[in-house]
Amino acid sequence: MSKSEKKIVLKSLDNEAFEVEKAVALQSQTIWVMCEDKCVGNEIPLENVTGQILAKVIDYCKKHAVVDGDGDESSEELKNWDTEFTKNMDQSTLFNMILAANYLNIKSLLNLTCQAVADKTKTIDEFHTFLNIENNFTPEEEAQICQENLWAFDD
Amino acid sequence: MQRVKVSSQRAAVHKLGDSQMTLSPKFRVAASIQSPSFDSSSESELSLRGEPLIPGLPDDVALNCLLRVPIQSHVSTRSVCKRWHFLFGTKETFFARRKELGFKEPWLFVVGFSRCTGKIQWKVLDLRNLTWHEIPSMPCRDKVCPHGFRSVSLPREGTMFVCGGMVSDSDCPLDLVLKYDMVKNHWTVTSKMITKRSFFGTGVIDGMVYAAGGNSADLFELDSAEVLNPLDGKWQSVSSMVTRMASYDAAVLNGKLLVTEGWLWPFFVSPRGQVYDPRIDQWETMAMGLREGWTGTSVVVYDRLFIVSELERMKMKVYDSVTDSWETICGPELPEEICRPFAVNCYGNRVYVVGRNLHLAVGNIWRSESKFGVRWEVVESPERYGDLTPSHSLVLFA
Repeated sequence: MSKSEKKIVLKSLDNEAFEVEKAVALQSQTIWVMCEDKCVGNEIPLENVTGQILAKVIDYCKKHAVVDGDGDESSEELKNWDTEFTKNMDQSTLFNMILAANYLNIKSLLNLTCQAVADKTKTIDEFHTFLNIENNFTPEEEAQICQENLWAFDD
Repeated sequence: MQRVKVSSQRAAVHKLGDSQMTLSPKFRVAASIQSPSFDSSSESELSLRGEPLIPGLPDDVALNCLLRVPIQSHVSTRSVCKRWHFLFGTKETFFARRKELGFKEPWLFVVGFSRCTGKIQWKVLDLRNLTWHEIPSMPCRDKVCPHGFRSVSLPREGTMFVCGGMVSDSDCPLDLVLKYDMVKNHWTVTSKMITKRSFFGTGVIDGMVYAAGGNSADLFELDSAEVLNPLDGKWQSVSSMVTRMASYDAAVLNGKLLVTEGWLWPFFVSPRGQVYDPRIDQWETMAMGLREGWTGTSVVVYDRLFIVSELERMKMKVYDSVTDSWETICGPELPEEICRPFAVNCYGNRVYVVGRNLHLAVGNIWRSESKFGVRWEVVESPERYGDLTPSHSLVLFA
């Protein structure tokens, strides 16, 4: 196999082209299916992903293509890398990453970014502001919720 | 063989005020949060009206995010908006949705008793977020001794069974079987065992729950064994053991049930042990090295039998069936924070050792060629668990 066949070009919504190793790109089930179908050439247009987001997705795939299959020590390192990766993402980047992971069908990245949403929000105010959710309770309902007991597993 | 009193009492380290021992007699159902003003039909209504769970994300993806919110945040998340109120309102809804979407995270269930009141209770550790939670009390009429009953789990189903045991203040064994369902957060009383027993051997093989031997209602130990099919909830007899025997510990290894009576004070006689093969419905005597070296609680990791010693600050050891001998594994001994008695369990290559006050040591077992080793991490329990002594632990997924 020649070197060029091992590479693949991903083209973003805003026409940015990224040349990546096939092994890196094929972590996306969507790209994998496109390649299987042979309905595309060496260049794959990704109409739902901007260049800025695609660059991050490729970073993630590169990191995971290298380390996957190694032993325990590296999986610890990979976990730390994942934590750092999502740590400072703002809401809009995180959501775009989630949408890209969903569209490209990269399960581990989808899980990672969804987990980040759950981890980044703790208080009611954070849920309202970070996730931009409107409080649609009537005052009566709100009063009732306040009275509800603390819900854990029990009591 | 006549039962020696010491054998059934061996596990009881603390002298409890038995008369104070209580077990909540009533069946407590998790508080129902939904009230008439939030009837469930409006959930689909809101979704139809196009109110997203999270603006900017499709609902399936939003669910993937929200079903990861740790339980201790649910008080907050319920109060965010109407649709979230339904999702986080009850544990049933939340865990049913998690099940639908294939979430399988481990939860460590620990049953123990209060050294002050004697009350038996289950505590649950969310192994992902390392937070402790409660579940409803077991529905028992009798006061039950914190030792003598057995618990087994079907981890992937998210269910566990608590079987047999002893009425406290008496030597009277029980045939009671209780089932707990994690998704429903709910105990049910299921069909009784054929024989009343305490201190018996249990294990799950191919989804079937086995119970063997133990102490009986009369002076003799039992040799009978039985099996529960969790699908139809029925117990059936299987071949009896070769000798009458109570069980100190049991394990399932390579599709066989290993039951040992453990060393009995004053350690004059070698402990008996038996192995059941369900494929041919036959018992045989356990290899000498295996039963003599079985000096603690077993876990099966990498298809090998490991022992966490009953004593504090000891190294784990692993059994080699070829040489019928035990070898100490690499790595440090059990951390000093973890004090007796231990409740030991595992999943994957992680071993969970819960000690006094529910402090937990998580051991990561590693393997390199023919060597095994362990790395320990300690997870301290909250102060409010300062009077709890563990008796068993199990891992369930949900």
